Amino acid sequence: MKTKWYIIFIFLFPALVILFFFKVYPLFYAAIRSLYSYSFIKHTLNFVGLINYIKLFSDPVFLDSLKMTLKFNLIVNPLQVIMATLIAVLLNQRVKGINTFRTLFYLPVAISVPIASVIWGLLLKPNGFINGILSLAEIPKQLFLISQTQALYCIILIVSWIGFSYWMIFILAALQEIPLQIYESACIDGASPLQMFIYVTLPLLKKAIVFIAVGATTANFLMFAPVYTLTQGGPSRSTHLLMYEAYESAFSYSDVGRSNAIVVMLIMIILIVVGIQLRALRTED
Amino acid sequence: MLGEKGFNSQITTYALLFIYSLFILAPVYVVLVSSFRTSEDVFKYMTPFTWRTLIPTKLTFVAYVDIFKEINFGRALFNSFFISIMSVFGGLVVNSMAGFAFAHFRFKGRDILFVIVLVTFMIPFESIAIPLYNFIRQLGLVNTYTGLILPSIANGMIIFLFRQFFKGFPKALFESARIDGASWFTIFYKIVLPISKPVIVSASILMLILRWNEFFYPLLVGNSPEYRVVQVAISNFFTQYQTKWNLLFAGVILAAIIPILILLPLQRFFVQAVTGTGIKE
Repeated sequence: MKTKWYIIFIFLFPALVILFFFKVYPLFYAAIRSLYSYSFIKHTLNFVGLINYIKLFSDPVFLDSLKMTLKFNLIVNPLQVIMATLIAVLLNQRVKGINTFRTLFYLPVAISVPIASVIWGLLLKPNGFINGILSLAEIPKQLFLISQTQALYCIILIVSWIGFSYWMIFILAALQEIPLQIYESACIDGASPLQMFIYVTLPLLKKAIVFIAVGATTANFLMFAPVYTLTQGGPSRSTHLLMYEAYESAFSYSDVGRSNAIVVMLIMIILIVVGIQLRALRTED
Repeated sequence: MLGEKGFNSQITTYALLFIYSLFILAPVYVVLVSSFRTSEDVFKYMTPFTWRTLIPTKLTFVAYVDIFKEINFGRALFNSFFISIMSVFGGLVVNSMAGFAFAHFRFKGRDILFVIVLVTFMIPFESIAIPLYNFIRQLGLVNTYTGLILPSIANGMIIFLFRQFFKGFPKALFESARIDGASWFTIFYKIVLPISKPVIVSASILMLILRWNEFFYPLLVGNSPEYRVVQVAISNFFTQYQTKWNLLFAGVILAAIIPILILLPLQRFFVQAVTGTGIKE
């Protein structure tokens, strides 16, 4: 069945044109703009080649943010993947009332990162709810978000409050596709629950786990809202993630070239990390 | 049936479920209770922890009234509603049409074009928000509804979702209509869409929650008070006015209640949408 070209064009055109201008083009724009620098004196854009990138790597502020971003991701991504898997296994148990718990566990998925940030920001205030709970155990007041050593971990907690539940959805869906007979035969062979999890369940979850590892990595390398809302990168730059650095470059210091260079760097880092993840998890096949 | 071992493992399961439920519910509960307190009372009972921390002695709706009077939260709510609904509406039209073309039309370069669409869905919106802002500014669309709505209408993930669903339809479904002389547009609106309710619901919920919860892009493009969405308004409120805590608690509840009320009852569709784009190919 041959369809007239203009029919195809009308069906495809609106979506493709929007995708091209507002998704593909900005990507190329970022790459090109990062090679230019704006002169505030002459009001001209000047081609400077890789200068913006070279400057980044001799800039202690950038290097510090880069280190912070890598540290944040090295903790938050494995944590979210492992916890999401464990929670999904828990929700896959056939006990009475499990559907109520499932619904409840989806709740954080509906809440946005900035709103969750504000919720936890209020709870983590020095005179807030969490310190109230700690006082029950006679633990002295903690500073949390205004402590240089604790703030990054507080942000990890906040984004994971949503992240655990969100990534759990995918693992739970994959778990529900595993036929029961597989467990039954493993059970007859005398496998313990732990053995069954490691040798039966995990290999069948591999695809879903790779998917959430990649998804979590992409989302968390671009994490911005909790930093903007709660700490503005502080205290003492201890939560200065790269996405916030890119935002500040563009909107506080009007250095669009540097900002775009950071964005391009971030995308390249994500591509490299995702590439490593895909390779590492594929070789076992 | 249950042995002692099975019973113990059930107890462990319930204990773990209960502990994690507390982790999820406690923050939401504290915010809900605080939103019914006066601003002086909000932090009064938080620490040390007593029964008053959890149960308010006097309830007041003053925060829910003041938030509309004092920070013009109504405007932010309207903006979020308007932008979300328009995006979902536009998104349903353009993405379903593109999905249908990819599923049932044969043309040169279709597969490569579809791969490009899939790649765009792997570029998160956050990563291009800053360069996109520059482009939107050049177009003169900063602080306009067009600038806030248009870029997010087309979505590779939603196109994919529609294409997968439409692919399940046999060609024979359209052939007799074609022979009768119906145009593809008639077939699409009269035959295809009416039997596509599940995917329309899934796509709508997904887009609605994504839009309502979007933050970074509207922060850049809709930063003037008239165009601020709920997420941006609350975030700004939190960083700027560190006194009227009860208003903030009320704002958080109002911002969160919408996606919660959509997601929890229609969870099945949401799960189908996100997993449909994920694991199953």
